[in-house]
Amino acid sequence: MIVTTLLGVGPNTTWTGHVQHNTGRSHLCGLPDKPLLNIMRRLDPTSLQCLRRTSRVFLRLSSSPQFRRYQTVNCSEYNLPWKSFTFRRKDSELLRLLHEDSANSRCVECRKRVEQWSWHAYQSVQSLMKEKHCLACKTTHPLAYFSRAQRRHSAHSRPQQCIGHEGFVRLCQHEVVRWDSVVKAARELEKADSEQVARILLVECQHPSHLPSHRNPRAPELHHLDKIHPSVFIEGSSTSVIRLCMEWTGHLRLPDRHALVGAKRFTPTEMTHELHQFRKGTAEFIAPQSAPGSLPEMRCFDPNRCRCLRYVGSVNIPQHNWQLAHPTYDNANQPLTCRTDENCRLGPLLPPSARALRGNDNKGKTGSHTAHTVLSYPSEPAYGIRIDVDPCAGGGRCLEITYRRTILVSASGGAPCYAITPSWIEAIDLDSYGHETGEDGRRSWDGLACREDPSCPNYVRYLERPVVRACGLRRSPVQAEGWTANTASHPANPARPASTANRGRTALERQARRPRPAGERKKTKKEEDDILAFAFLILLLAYLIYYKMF
Amino acid sequence: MAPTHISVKNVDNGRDGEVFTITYQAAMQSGILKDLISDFEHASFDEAIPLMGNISDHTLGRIISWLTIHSRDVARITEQVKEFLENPQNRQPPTGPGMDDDAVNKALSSQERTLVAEKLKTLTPWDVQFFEVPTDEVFDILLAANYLDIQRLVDFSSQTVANMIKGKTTEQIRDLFGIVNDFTPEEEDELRRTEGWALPRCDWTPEQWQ
Repeated sequence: MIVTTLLGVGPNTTWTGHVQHNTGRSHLCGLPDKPLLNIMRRLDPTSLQCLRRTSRVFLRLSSSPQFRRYQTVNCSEYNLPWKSFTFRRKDSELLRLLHEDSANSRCVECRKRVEQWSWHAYQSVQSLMKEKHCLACKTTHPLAYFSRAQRRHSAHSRPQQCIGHEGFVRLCQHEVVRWDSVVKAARELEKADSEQVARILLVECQHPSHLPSHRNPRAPELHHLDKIHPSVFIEGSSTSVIRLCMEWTGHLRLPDRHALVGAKRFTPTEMTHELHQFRKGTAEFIAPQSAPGSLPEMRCFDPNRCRCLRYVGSVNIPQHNWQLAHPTYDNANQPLTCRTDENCRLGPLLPPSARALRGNDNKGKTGSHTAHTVLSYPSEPAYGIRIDVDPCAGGGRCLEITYRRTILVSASGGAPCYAITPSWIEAIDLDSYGHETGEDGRRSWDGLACREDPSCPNYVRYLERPVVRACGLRRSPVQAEGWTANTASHPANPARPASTANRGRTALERQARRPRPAGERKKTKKEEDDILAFAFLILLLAYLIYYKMF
Repeated sequence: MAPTHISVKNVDNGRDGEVFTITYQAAMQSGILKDLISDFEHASFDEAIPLMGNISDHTLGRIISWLTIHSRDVARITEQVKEFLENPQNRQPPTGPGMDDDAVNKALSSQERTLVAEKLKTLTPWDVQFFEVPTDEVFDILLAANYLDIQRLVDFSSQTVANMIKGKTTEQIRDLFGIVNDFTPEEEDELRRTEGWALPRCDWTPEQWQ
């Protein structure tokens, strides 16, 4: 636990120390590859899964060509330096073991709640998956998509609107975006009735705090930077996907103090520290952290591909023990990285002597480092956050960091339906919708146990919300009933067969697209029962009249 | 002529260790000793063979005892299997009129080889007791067996380690073998994101939700 906590706050110098410790002092990790593979071949899939998460030694070996016992799949969309294992069936034992570890890594408050976990609580969670009608979206959502205040209100009447309408998405500390304005802009795109993808600027924050500190009006080379203001665009056409893009290019001015203390390059700890300061105000909203101590920007400096940062002590470790991917990993399909090509290294991060040799003209000579985080929902496979790190066009010790977050507004084809999407819900600002204050005087958030401790993996402000994720992954009852099978063609587009029109979409999305006349709402179970009882009475009456007559 | 007995000793930093003597049959289970004996066929083997694998005297003594106990395993198990197969009920290959004697013998010898190989892989009660030692010692034996190229002992040691791992969580495995978390925070996050999707997040309590 202590080790995890130490890593969590980001001292990557201890990370190389941990690699050294495992190589030199752990009996198991210190074994040669051959006996290790022999041990791994004797493990059942569940134990193997647990073992490969203990250390990078086993993650490397389980991805090696010598270990081919289990079918592996290379996650190309994640561009990982290891191979991910496929879950062939629901492994309840593995889930139990993973959950035990996950519970132990949480804060005291969360652990208490996990200990209180019961079947009754499970039923409560299941009740959140039930679908309720949202008046604002004119469709149904899982109950988890409504704020706690709305759900409490729903005990006597139906919820009025989901958090997608009640809240907003924060672009920066000054500007926000609301779903209504998004829908308004999307309708304008729709009216254009053109197949050409258009782009509409929704919000742009021109607060001077977002401008690069080195921006000089007399420096014409910086004038081409049109993304220095955080902005929200909506792009698409009447026939294609309509999506929302939050963009910002910030300039991270690196201090020169490293030359004074004699260090040659930036260490991950120093870079993390700089990025923590830099993220405040804008990037923290566009690209939130997804785990304690793990900044999304640091993925651009993944040591498996990048050698721009200096990992203290790494020279004493055999390369295969700390870099999971072989340099030949970058085949023809992969972009060159600075681990394989010296020219791809970021100039502003080079030691002063190397920069002096290269000169100030870094542009064109140094590469771009990219990280892509995918928010994987079945209905939205390609929506997520992309971060690019480039050397600043103005030269010097400055990095250009571009953030781009995409959110699905409306899927392509058929009649547009502007019901909220999971990626929008994921991006909603937690402070923007109704909360209730608990007895302890603290505000309660939905479905997330940890409200206070950012070092807890279950902290409320991290990227993914378990409730949204659970609702996104679950199988909808509508899908199970086969709603599409009864219609010969897509209701909005008669020329398009229903089976084709609905392929690749979730039941929730299909239901959202189903046209519902204005004013009509879904019948409740009680109303349906009343109709049936009424029909039965009519039949009974008719039978009695018939019996009396004859 | 092959020697009847062979002596081995551990040599660590120029210091000679204890001398152990084993039979020729027992020594032939080790790939390294087998190669050495075949390379120096005409040598007298009066002097102990030095082993440079950084093996302690205690571990070498245990390995010598294991080799001695298992020296007649192949012959003994082959005899047992032959006795077992003499009973026609235990024979798997059909001995119908369509098969000639050669085909039947071939099928039986194949079955015999399979049964012998399977029996050799099985840990005996003696082996189980042999590995009832501290974890460090199991790894010493595994390393020494790997160096001496004793495949059966490597397999048995590996099986013992695998048995220790089975049914444990990641943190329990780390605690048992003194492993520390050496993933970068970003790698750990990626692991969780890409492979932990099935992980239930049941943090909700009835008080929160009702």
